[in-house]
Amino acid sequence: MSNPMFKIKISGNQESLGSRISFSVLAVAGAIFLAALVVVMYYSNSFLIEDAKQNVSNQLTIAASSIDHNLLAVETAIENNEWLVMNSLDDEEKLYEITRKIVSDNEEICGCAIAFKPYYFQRRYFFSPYSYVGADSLIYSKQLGTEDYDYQFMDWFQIPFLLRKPVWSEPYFDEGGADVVMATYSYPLIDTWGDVFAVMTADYPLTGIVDLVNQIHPYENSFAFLVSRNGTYVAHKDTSLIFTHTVLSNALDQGYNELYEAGLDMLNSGIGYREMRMKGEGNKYLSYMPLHNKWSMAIVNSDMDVLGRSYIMLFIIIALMVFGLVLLYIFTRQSVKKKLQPLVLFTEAANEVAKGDFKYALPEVKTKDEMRTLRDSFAYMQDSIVKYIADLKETMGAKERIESELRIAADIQRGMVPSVFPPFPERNDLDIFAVLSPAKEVGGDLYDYFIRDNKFYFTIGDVSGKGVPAAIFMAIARSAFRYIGASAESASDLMTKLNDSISQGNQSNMFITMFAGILDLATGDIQFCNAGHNPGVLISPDGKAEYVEVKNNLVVGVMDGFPFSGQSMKIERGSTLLLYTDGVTEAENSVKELYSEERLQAFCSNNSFDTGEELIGALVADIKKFTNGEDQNDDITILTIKLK
Amino acid sequence: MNQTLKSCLYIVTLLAVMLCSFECFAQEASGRSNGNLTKVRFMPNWMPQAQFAGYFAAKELGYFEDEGLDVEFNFISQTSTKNPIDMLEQGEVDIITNLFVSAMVAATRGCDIVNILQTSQKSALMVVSRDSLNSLEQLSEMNVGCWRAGYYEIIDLITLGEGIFINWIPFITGINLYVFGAVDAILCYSYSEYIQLMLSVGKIPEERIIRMENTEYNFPEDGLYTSSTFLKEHPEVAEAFVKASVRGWLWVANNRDKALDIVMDVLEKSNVQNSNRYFQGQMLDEVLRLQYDNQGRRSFQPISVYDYSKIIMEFRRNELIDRYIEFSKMIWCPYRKELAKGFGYE
Repeated sequence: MSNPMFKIKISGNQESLGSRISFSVLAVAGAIFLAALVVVMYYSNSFLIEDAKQNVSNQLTIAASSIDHNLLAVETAIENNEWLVMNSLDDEEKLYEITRKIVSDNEEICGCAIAFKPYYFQRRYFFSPYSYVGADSLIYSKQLGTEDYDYQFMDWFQIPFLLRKPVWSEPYFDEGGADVVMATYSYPLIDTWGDVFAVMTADYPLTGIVDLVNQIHPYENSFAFLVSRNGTYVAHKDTSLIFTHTVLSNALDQGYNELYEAGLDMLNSGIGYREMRMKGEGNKYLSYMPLHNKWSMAIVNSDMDVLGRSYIMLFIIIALMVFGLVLLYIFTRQSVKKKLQPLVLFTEAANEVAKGDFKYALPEVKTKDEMRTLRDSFAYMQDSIVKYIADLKETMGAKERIESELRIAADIQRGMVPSVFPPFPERNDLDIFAVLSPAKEVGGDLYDYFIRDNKFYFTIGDVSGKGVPAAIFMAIARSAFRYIGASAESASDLMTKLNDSISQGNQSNMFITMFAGILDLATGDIQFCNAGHNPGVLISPDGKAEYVEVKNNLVVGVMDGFPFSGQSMKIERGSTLLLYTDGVTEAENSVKELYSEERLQAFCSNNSFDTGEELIGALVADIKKFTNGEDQNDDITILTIKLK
Repeated sequence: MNQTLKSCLYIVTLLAVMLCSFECFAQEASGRSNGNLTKVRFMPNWMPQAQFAGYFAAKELGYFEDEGLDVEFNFISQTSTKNPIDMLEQGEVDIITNLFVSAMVAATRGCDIVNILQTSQKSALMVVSRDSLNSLEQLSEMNVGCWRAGYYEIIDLITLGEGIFINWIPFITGINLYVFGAVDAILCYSYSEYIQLMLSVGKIPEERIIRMENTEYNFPEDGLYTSSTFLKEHPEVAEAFVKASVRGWLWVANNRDKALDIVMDVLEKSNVQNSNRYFQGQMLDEVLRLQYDNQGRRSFQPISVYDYSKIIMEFRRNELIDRYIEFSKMIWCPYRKELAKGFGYE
């Protein structure tokens, strides 16, 4: 009959096995795809960044050249008129005329001045003829210096005056004039003594440059910006930055470290290309290049601009990869499922075999792979099981016979020792009780007693070894005790004759430890002889328990002719002599601790019992408590003799 | 009839004139009162910026009103030739901020000016050089840029004190002389031009900087001033202004970001365009640092008699002043104990 608990269910496991294999394949394939993708994207992005760098650099160069061209045109217009000014230093009207002509001849110039240092021109503190284009597009002229406008402290005059070389001023908003962002080109005029005596200037509206910068869009999201010599934003898509922030203050304000480093390089007329990480804006790429007047122009591209195509490609590849992996999973799963199909048939076969149909036909496997090997192994296992069961049946039959015989032997052995208590119900001066608990079906322990001539002959023994041989040896010893005891004169005589009887022809080299004694029931005198057995415990009427001191005679059955020496003692009425085999004192608990003679003595001392039956019952319970369920590994035999 | 009519007209005219006179007098005597508030004309010594954040906060948060004042701010422009001390002397304004040394020198020249609060405890002036600089003596023969107006007393003192010739190059537009390389060094304020420089050319190595607070020219700077005339007529107004100002500065010190909001709002309303919050924040941090005394405590206490005497002696020794102004006439601080406790606003 089959046990449903052990019925094999393979269908569920087959699913998970197929999935596991499929996922493993998927994981490996995914890892390979991913690695390839990383490598491809790395090189692809590198190429795109390099391409963008080149593209932006070209646009920067073109724009910078265009701006420089305009700036140089202004510079040329001033420098070309220097000789005219030098030749008109004593002619006020002529100087005004020159400024007017410069403005009228150069439409990119909206104002022109010739500012003399104080007291130079005709000893006047201020003299600075200035012509400019008014709101009505007409050209007006005026004296620039006034009490409220002391131009000698203005950057456009002071810086070229001190440096003795031309400079472009910082950009400024011409409020009240043209209302546009302007910069002034200042050109120092130096006399024959090498002293700067005046500064010629040209005001140049930056509208065109700002428009040009704002129109630079190499990519959809890119933009350009322009910073002046001290880093002030002149043009930027974020107009709130213009004139309010420098590139460094903006970088520090926003926490853009890369922009700060780039800004420093820009202020030092550097050329560069940097990647910047912007909070919430992704990565940016900054290209910058200086202008002729030491300003700096930059183009900012977002990573979406530069790497947008790469991201699209990445998206397509990932989509294809996911699609491919899904297909791979489905294919792998179906394939594995098909390959594992015979396992289902094997499962059915296993279930049938489990039910007892050992001849159940196994499925055919045509492939020459592991499944074929499994089928052969299964068939071999099937044959082996049939053979094994046959052997098992035979073995079980033999075992049952042996066990039956052993049960009979045990019954016989139990019948050989007294088992009816009280054994002498007619006597009220003697209380006898005993137990024999073999570790196996039969054991080698024995006890026996009889009364002859108002004397109580008793013995207890333990045959070496266990099982049937020990039981037979015990039977021999018990028979010899009865036979020899019937005529023995003393305990030592009894033991000597017993030993001679057993030792002669003892081919099995077995032996027996024995304690034998003769109790005179009238006097309480005991003659006893100990042949290597555990000394008994004498429990006095007052409850005191002490081991009987015994001589170390040889064990019985080892050497015939050995003269056993006996001992004698006298016991009080009410005393109990407890005899036992080593199964008592050597009973082990789970930590291999022995019950021990000390524990036995303590038990006898600490407890008081009226009868031997109570004493033995309590002692056996104490031993069981001590061993706490551990297997009994030796026969336990206890005999109590109480003289009342 | 005509006589009667003439008499009536005369009386009416007289009454009208008396009424007008009384109105004018009453308005003048109450310190130009506006409703229940007393109007005060206040002039900081520069354009609106975080240097005056405490006063902006006092105005914005109503601390001046709490003290019964209606404070009118009068700012000067970057290119203006108006000097707050001149404006105070001319009675155009009631209370100004200024440098202690400038006020002291002005007082020795006869100007009616009294310090009523000292908000800065150390000098913000510093020399920033293009090359390494170990001592002020190294400035000899150098072109050194400096503001055209503002601290010429210190310039004179340094020149005479060090016994060197420095070619001071006055400017009125800021740091460009230095950025363009037109000067060898620049004398500037740590809370203003120095920050601008760092935002224009990057961090400047310390070996190129001498801070006056580390020299013998470490004189306290910003403070509140008024005239002794105003003080005599309206001592309660001066004290109220001081009280509200201290309260404003203490609030600013504890509410940096909110204070910056107020500063930026004032800048916007005053049409100051070429600035930004980051710069103003840096300026505010430095101005607040300058309020700490040598013991590391924020202090609004006036200069001590000892330090005052030292400054006077230094200027006398270099013959930059020829009069001695008594300490009690230069410094007015009847609320010293209350001031030490921040008027209870700390």
